[in-house]
Amino acid sequence: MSVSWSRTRTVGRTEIRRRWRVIKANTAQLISIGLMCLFFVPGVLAILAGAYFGGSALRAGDLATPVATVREIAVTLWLFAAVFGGFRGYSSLLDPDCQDGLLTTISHQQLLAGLLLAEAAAFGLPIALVAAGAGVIFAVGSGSVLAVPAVFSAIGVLVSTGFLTGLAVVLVFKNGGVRSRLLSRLRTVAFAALFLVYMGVIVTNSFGALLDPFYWLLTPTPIGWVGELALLSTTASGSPLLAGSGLVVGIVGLGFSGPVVSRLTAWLWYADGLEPRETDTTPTTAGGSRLSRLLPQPMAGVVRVDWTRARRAPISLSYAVYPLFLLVTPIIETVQEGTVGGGFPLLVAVCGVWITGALFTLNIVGNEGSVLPSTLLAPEPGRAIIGGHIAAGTLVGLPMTAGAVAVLGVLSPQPLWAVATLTLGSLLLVVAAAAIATGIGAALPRYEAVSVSRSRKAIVPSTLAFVAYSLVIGLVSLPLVAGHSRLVAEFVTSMVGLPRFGLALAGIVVSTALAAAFSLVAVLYARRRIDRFQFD
Amino acid sequence: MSSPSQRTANDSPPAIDATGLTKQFGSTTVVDGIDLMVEPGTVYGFLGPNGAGKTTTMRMLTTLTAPTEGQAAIMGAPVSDRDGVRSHLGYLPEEPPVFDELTGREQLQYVARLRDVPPAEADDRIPDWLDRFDLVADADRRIDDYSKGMRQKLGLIGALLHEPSVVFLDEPTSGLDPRAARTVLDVIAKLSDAGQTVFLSTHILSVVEELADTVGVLFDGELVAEGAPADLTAQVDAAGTDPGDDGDGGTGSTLEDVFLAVTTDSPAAQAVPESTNGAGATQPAADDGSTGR
Repeated sequence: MSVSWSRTRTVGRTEIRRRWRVIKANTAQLISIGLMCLFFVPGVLAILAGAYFGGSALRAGDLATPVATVREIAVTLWLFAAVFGGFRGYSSLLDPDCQDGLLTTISHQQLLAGLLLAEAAAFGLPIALVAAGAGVIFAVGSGSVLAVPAVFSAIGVLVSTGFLTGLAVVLVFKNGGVRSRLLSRLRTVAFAALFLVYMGVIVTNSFGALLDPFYWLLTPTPIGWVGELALLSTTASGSPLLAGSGLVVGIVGLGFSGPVVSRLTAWLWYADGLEPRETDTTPTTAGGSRLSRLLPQPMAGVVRVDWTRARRAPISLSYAVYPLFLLVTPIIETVQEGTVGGGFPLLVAVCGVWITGALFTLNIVGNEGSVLPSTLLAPEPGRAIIGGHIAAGTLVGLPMTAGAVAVLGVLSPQPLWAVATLTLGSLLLVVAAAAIATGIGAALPRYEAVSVSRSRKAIVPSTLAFVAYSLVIGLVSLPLVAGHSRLVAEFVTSMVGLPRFGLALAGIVVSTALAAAFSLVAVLYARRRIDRFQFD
Repeated sequence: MSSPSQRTANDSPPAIDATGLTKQFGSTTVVDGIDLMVEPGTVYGFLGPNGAGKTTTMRMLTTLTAPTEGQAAIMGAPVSDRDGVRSHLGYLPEEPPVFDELTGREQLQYVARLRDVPPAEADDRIPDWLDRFDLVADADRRIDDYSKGMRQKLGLIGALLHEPSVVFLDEPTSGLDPRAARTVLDVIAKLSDAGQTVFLSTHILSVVEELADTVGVLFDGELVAEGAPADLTAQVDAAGTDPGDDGDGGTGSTLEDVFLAVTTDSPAAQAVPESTNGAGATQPAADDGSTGR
C-alpha cells in the first residue's frame, strides 16, 4: 500500500482536530498555550530584528566574520530542530492512539506520514511564517531580493533535516528500550541525568561551553554550509559552491531520512516488547523484611505499594518536586560564589517538609484509584492507610531532608547550634507534614486522573488540597524559619533582648506545637473519613 | 469446508491458513506450532483460557506481530506481506480502536476514508450501520460520552465498514447488553452468509456454540481441540470425560464441557484432546473435513 496524499491528509487533519478539541476542552491548557505564544513573541521579534540588522551589517561590510557567523546560526537552528524533533518523538508522535487499529487499517508509512503532516501543520506552519518574515526582512536589510528564497530555503532544509534527525535518534533509543530490559530500566536514570545536566548548564551558565563541541563538529559540514546561502545575495565572501552543496546534501539527506525514519518506526511499532517476566511480590528482599519488622503488616504493605508505584511511574509524582525550583537561584548563587548562603538550609528544610507531605499523603483516598473499594473493605482501613502512607513519605523524606539541612547548615555561616536546632525542627516538621497532608487530602480529594504528560494520566492531589496544604505548612513552618532567620533575630534581639539561641528554640517549640495540633486534627479527621467512607 | 488435499487449482485460497505458527518472547513460548485452516464464508470460534495465547495468535494473523516460526496467510497473502493482508482484513481488538475526541459519525467517516471506501458508498453505509446498532441518536455525540457497549458497537462497525473478506473479532460482545449482543450475533451470521469469514475469539461459549462452523481450543499455546461443535461434544460424550457428568453415562455435553475437559493439566482429561485435536487425531475426521488441517 503506497502512501497516498488523501490518506495522509485524513490522518493529519484528524490528529489536528483531536488535539484542538483536547486543548479547547481544557481552559488551563488553553491559557498556558496562549501564554507560551506570548512568551515566544519577543523571541520572534528578536529573530526578525536580528535578520534586519544582520542583513544591514552584511551590506555595509560591518560583520568581521560573516561566514563563521552564518554557519553558527545554521548549526544552532539545526540543533534546536533536532532537540525539538526528539522531544516531539518521545512525548507523543511515536505513540499514536489506537495504534493496533490503525496499523491493521493503513500502513505504518501512511500513519507516520499523517502524523508528520499534523506536526508540520501545528509547528511547521508558524516556523515557515517566521522563516518567510525573516527572509523578507533580511532582504530589506541586505538590499537583495534574492535573500528571500535563499534564507527561506536554508531555514526549511535545516529545520526539516534537524527535526527528522532528532526523531531518528529518539527512535533508536525507543527501539533499544522495547528490546532491552536494562535500557528500559535505565530510562528514568537517563532522564534524571539529563535533568541534572540541564540544571548544571543553567546554574553554571555554560550553554556556550555545551554548544562549542557541536559548533566545532558541525560548522564545517553541510549543516553549516547551508547557512552560507544567506550570504549569496550579499557582498560578503560566502562560497556559492559550499552553499549549493549544503542545500543539495540537505535535500538528498531528507530523501534518505524518510526511509530510515520509516524503517525505524516499523521496528518500533511492530516490536514484540520485552519478554514477560514472572514477578514475585512476596517481601523476600532485605528491604521488605526490614519494613515488615518495622511496621505492622498492613502498613508495610501500603508502604511497599506506594514505593513500587513511585518507582514504576515517577512522573505521576512530578508535582511533588515543584518546590525544588525555588532552590534554583540559591544553587546558582552557591555555585557562582563558592559558599553556601545562610538562608539556603532554611529553604531546603521548608521544601523538604512540603515535599514529604505531598508525596503520598495529599490525596490519601483518591490516590487509591480503582482499588479503593477493596482497600476500604480491609480491617481497620483508616489506620493502615494513614499509617502506611505517612511512613512511605517520611521514610524517604526524613533522612533526605535532615541530611541535606545538616550538611548545608554545616557548610553555611550558621553557628553549629543553629544547624542542630534547624535539623531537629525539620525532622519534627517532616513527620508532621505527612500527617497534616492526610487530613487535607481526605477533605479535598481528587478521584479522576489528569494528564501529567502528553501520554500519561495520573490521579494527583486536587488544586484546593495543594493550596490548603501549602498555607498550613507555611503557617506551621513560619516560627521555625523566623527563629533561624538572621534578620528576624537581629530585630527581635534589638527589641526585646532575646538571644538568637533562645529565639531558635522558641521557633521550634511554637512550630512543633502548631504541627502537633494540626497533625492530630488532620489524622483524626482522615481516619474518621476513611473508616466511614461511603461511595456517592 | 474442504481439506487441503481436496482443494483444486481453481479453488479460492483458504481465508486463513497457518502452519506451525509459533511465537516466542525470549525463552517463553506463547504460541506453540499451531496449524489452522479456515475456509471462506465460515465462522471460526477461537476459545481458550486467559493467557492461552489467543490474542498473540490473532496479532500474528493480523500482521501486528511476526511469528517466530511457521507461516500464515490470509486469503492467500502471507502475513509477512502486511499491505496484502491488510486489504482483506477487518479487526476489532479487545479495546475498540476509537478516538474519544471524535463523534461516532466522524470516527466512521475517518475509517471509511482510510479504507478508501468511496464517499458515496460511505454515506450510504454509515447511517445504515448506525441504525442497525441503534446508534443514530448518538452519532453526533463525542465518543468520550459513549458507554463501553456503544464504543464496542462503534469499533465493530469500523471493522466491518469496508466489507472485508476476513474479520477478526476479539470479544465482540464484551460490554454489550443482551439486545446489542443479539444484534452482533445476527450481524456475524449475516457476514458468514454473505461469504465473509469471521474469526471469533470469545469466552462466551454459547456464542460460539450458536455461530461457529468450527471451534478451536487453545491451551498453553497449543491447539488442543478442533472441530465442529457437534463433533467435539460427541467426542466428549464418547470419551466419558465430561467434567460435569454425573456418572449416569448420559449424553448431551455442551461446548463448556469440551472446554473444561481440554483445558486442564489433569492427565485423565488430557486423553480427550488427543482424540479431538486434528494434529494428533485418533478419531476419524468428520465427513465435512472440519478436523482436517
